[in-house]
Amino acid sequence: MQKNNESIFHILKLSVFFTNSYAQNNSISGKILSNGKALPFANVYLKNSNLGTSSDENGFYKIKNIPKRKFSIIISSLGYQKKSVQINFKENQQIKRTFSLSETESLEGIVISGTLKPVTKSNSPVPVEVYSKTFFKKNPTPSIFESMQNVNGVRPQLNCNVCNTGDIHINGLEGPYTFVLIDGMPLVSGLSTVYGLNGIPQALIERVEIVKGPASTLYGSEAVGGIINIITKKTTNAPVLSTDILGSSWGEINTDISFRYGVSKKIEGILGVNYFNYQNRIDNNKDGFTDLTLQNRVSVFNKINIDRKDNKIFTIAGRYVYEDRWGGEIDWERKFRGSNIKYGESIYTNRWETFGTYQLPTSENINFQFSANGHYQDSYYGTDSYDAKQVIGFGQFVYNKQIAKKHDLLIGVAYRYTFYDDNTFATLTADGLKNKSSITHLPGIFLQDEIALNTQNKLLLGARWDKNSLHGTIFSPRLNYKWNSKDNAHIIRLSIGNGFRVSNIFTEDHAALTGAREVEFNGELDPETSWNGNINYVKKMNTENSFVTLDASAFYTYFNNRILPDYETDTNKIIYSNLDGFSVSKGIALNIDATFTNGLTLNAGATLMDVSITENNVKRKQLLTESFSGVWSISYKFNNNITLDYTGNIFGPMRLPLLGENDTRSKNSPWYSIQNIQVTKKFMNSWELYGGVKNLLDFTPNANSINSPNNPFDVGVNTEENPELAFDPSYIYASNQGIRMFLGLRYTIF
Amino acid sequence: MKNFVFIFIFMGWFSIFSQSVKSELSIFTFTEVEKLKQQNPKSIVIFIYTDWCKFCSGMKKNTFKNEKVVRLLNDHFYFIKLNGEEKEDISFLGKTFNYMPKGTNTGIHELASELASIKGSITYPTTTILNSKLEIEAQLNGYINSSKMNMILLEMIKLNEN
Repeated sequence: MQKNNESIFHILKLSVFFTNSYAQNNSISGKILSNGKALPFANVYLKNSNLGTSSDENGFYKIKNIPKRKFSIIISSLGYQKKSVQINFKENQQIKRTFSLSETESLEGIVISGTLKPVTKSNSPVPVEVYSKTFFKKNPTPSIFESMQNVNGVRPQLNCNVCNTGDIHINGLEGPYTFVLIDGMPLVSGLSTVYGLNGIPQALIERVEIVKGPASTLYGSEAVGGIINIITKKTTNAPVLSTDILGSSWGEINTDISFRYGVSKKIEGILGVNYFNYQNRIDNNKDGFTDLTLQNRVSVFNKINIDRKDNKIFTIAGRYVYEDRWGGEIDWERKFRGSNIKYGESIYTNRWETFGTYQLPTSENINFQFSANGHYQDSYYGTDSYDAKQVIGFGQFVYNKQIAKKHDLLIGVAYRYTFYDDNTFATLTADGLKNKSSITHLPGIFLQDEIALNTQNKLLLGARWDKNSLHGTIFSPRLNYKWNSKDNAHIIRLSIGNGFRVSNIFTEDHAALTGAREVEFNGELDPETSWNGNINYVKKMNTENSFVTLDASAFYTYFNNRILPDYETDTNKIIYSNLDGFSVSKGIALNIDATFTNGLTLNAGATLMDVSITENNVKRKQLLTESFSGVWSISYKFNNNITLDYTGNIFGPMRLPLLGENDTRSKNSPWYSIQNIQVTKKFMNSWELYGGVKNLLDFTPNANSINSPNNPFDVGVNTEENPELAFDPSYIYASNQGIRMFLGLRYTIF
Repeated sequence: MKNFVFIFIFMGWFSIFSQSVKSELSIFTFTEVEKLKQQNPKSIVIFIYTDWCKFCSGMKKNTFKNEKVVRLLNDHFYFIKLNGEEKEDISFLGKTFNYMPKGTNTGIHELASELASIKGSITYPTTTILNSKLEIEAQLNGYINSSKMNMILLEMIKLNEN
């Protein structure tokens, strides 16, 4: 009632001033500011009149034809405190006034949105874990390889003390079992599993999707242990310019620059350049060897998205990486490359790749996906040279059809061509006299049906047939099931599937290359096959000011056959043979992810697992595999644009490869933890400064990790009789880099 | 007199009943709003979300279930939910907006990009408020809890009154 009275009163007042409004030449103009900056689109109006405007893009406003009267001028904008100022207009006055608004406190808070957080795709029956670029920014690293150290159940493992090559273990299974994809395309496989991951800069990443457990049905062999799918930045969401320079007190410099450009209205692209340089010969553990491999790496990435008629997809991307890395005795020089004067491992890598998707211009949804890459490695491990060349071509047609909203059908035809050649005996003719490069053809078909049984139950059935030109037909079925409660707060997923993989010893196992041991094959190596079962439970809890997600999984993988390097039967050799028994990897993992609107986010996870090999009824724990691992990242965002990140991980003991019984090095690694802290300050003008300390606890492996560092060429040592005196750099589980500071600067324009 | 008391009680019950009906948020489609606003022009609140964004579901579960917010939305606004990755075409204001794929399994609905893009990029959730002239009045990026939403809506109502 009161309100009505008021508006009637307004009308009365209006009519009053209309009667005496003959002189209307007054005006008011000026600028609206907030924190000294122009505030566009603020509302400016005169109370009890119909006169008003809003400020333009530069904060300017002007109101004309104001009658002679005393007015309250009201300035308001969403998220700012309203201002009211009384002004008395006389006649023919041109008043200039600048107003400043302060931000409303309660709106100032923290913006929490979907792109800022690791999320889980709840729709899919396949348990996919998604980590966004923000997650990886909590511990900035030059490459995706190091970034993985903060993901639960995933451990980047260094395999060589000298050249620092690594692979990514998922739930205790080594690198070659992990299938790394870029934008869903198989790009990192075979040869590139060793050095390929170092060449993918963090800056390229929009998000990373991780599937633990086999997914061979969609991706073919190799996807036995799990998938890491790196999704690069979208052309639409990428900033116009983004630069990021990171330096550390060890002298590592990482530079990322990327541009978004438009060739025309329909063609948009992103060009990214990454340069990483580390040239310091640091030997803190005094073993005479470089603690961290010296690296010089440049990577150029270009991605183009073409908008087509009928909104069909066409994207194409390319990447080129060149890397020169070496590690070895601290006084190694390039002229000693391949000689026995000084020990050094020097690797030059050239790599190109291209990939894309083209949707056929048909009414049905058919995509052609393609990728190709070439990898050229020129390397010396001491005096052993290893030159390898690998070319992979891949193409597949995928037909996607929705039938009656219930079936989401996927049918695909794929073909993969792999060319591999090196200068070792692995690519020789049977008589061992001539070189014979290895060429594999791998055609395959796959079929998948995602059935929405009802709103709460989903079933995914899939099958794949591959015909490997060397190993014959491979069949891999898959079953996934998902149940969710009505409000999606509880989700249960079950998956069963098999994996199949042909091992490529030389390309994948770096130990096969490094000097110390002789490589021996015991019989014809058969493909590795495995079965995996997985149960996953997700519970989401939301309140007004907190979001908590609990994610628990149990996994079990059984290998009928596995090709494992045997370091222990003969300490002078690495023997590869088919497994006469079985291997099991089982465990449980728990993840908690909590976000609070007060600015606190917490992400923690732990994995408890048992990876064992049973051969001739003897059960052993797998080498270099921890029973317990934990990760965490805790962030707090203060209101003044300062963020604090505390990240870390902890690993239980691992069994390490020793050189016989007389090896003095410890049998197991200790419990160890790498912890990092970072402070980030965001400035209004697109700048962001960040810095912190890595490896706070200053953990490094024992100084005697490299065996016989003083005699890398085994001079005068009978390694048959005294294997414990041989040179051996393969006893490693963590980086030699101790505590160090880092500082970085980002500049981003949208 | 008896009758009067009866009517009084009935009215009271009716008002309670109508209130409990009101606490259910009315969700409209773009097509419905286009028709309705000709009869009764009101501001439009569009909530742009995706299936995978948990802060979006947090807002659905908390913010848009809050009685105060629901009452304000029902009384003063038209509320629309829009999936940013919606695959179906949406017709609005004589124009057809469709899904724009930006690669395999990734894309954005044209209308979502139109309404939720802030400086050319989009994050979820975004709440966009259009005034009755269908001009973008506000784009609110990120999670908004019920008390904040309540405040924003009240401010919008105040703005519209002036």
